[in-house]
Amino acid sequence: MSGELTGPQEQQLLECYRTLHGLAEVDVPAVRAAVRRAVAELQVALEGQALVFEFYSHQWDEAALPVAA
Amino acid sequence: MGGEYWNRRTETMPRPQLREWQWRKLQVALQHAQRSEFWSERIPAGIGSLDDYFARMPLTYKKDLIAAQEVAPPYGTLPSTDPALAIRHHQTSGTSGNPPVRSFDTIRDWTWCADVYATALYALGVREHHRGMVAFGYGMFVGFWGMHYALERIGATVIPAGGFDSQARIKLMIDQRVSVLGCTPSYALRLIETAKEMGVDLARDANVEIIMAGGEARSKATTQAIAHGFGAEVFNAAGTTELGTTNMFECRANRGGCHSMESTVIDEVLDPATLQPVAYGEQGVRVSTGIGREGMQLFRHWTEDLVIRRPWHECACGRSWDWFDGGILGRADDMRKIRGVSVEPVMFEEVLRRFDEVGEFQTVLRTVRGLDTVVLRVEPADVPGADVTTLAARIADTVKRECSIRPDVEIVEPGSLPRFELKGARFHDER
Repeated sequence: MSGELTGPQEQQLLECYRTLHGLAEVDVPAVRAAVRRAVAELQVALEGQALVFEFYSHQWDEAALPVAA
Repeated sequence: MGGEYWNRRTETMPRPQLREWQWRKLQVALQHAQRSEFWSERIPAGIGSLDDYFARMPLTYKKDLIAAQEVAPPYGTLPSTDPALAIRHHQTSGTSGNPPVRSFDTIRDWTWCADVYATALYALGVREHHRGMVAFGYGMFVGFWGMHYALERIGATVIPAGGFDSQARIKLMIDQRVSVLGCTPSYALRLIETAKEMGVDLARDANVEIIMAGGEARSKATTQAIAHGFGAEVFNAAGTTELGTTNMFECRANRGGCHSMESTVIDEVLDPATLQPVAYGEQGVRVSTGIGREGMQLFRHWTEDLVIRRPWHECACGRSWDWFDGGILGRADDMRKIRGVSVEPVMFEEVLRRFDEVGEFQTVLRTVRGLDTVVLRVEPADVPGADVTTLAARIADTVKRECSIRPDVEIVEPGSLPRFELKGARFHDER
């Protein structure tokens, strides 16, 4: 089986991704860990379907952990 | 032969759309790289297209990466996200004698790495019902970690055998009805040798169907020896620690050809002398740009891997990805000119593996009486009725005939040459 997503399925996937992204900084460690892993999984699915490609993990710690000089 | 795909859309995308998708991803990657001290200093301003990128972005060599990480170990000025976001650390095997290149993955990156590897395994035919063993030490070498996670991702069962020696792995392989095996070609040969010592015929007693033998250039004779020893299909795949995962795999529809995974890597093939692109069908060095990882990025990496690229439409699998004829053919940094003849270690391997009486070997370059000389150190295998007394002369004659150079052949004691679990180190330049 190597099918294609339907239009509505694509929309559902995108909505899930956006919803989970909004939960990635919750204060409950167990929930935060689960959400971040789920965001990563959905990102990979969306990238594989050429729908979304982005880098984002730095956003979660940007204020506390600056990187480049 | 039409294929089944992990992601039909990006694997079969029409070529113009694929180039556009690559360019979109590269733009994101270049923008993100401004967060890295190392990359932000190297990336020219205002890159406007893929061709512009190829023309103006400088090549990146291993020494550049090592120098950047040594500024402030472990990762130096390279990271594009804070290393505190990492969930894993890996580093190169160090078989070349250089300091290792270190790398890390965020949750996002590691998920991506496993998924890319799963793309390759799925193409080889790995499915949910398979039982996989990844025969390596589960150390810092990234290659087979990716396979472990990719097997899980596909839904196959993984039998972890990291702390086992070769005998224990063989017993486990048989007891657990392992049907997919991952290891280096060197280690696959080691397993065959060990099994023989145990009185086990892997082709008869084991259940291995698919072997993903990656991580090393290998000769056709080596691949055939592994296939024969296990009674299994042997596939090639390769990646780099620097890119984080596998980035080429052998296609079922075109045995011997390895697709570049072009939705996640942008490949160029350059002439090592002129640094200009070579045409399809001409040998050059693979230069790779990663368009998948956020933590440790990579732009125009001079891999040292010698490849011959062929156009995608010459493979019948339906993927729109170009492919490399024979996979990685050797390493540019292993090429030497000996008495006017260009030689690569894999040339000698191709000959030696065809002798059943040869167990293990080393290729050594030495200066003998002022002359550059190829010395083949050969360990005889235990083959009933074999004439070891004439083995050295027969090897020397065959190498002379096929490689245009006569080597000195030294027959050494059985068991005296090293065996390898990860990448083999059979080539030594002692000059």
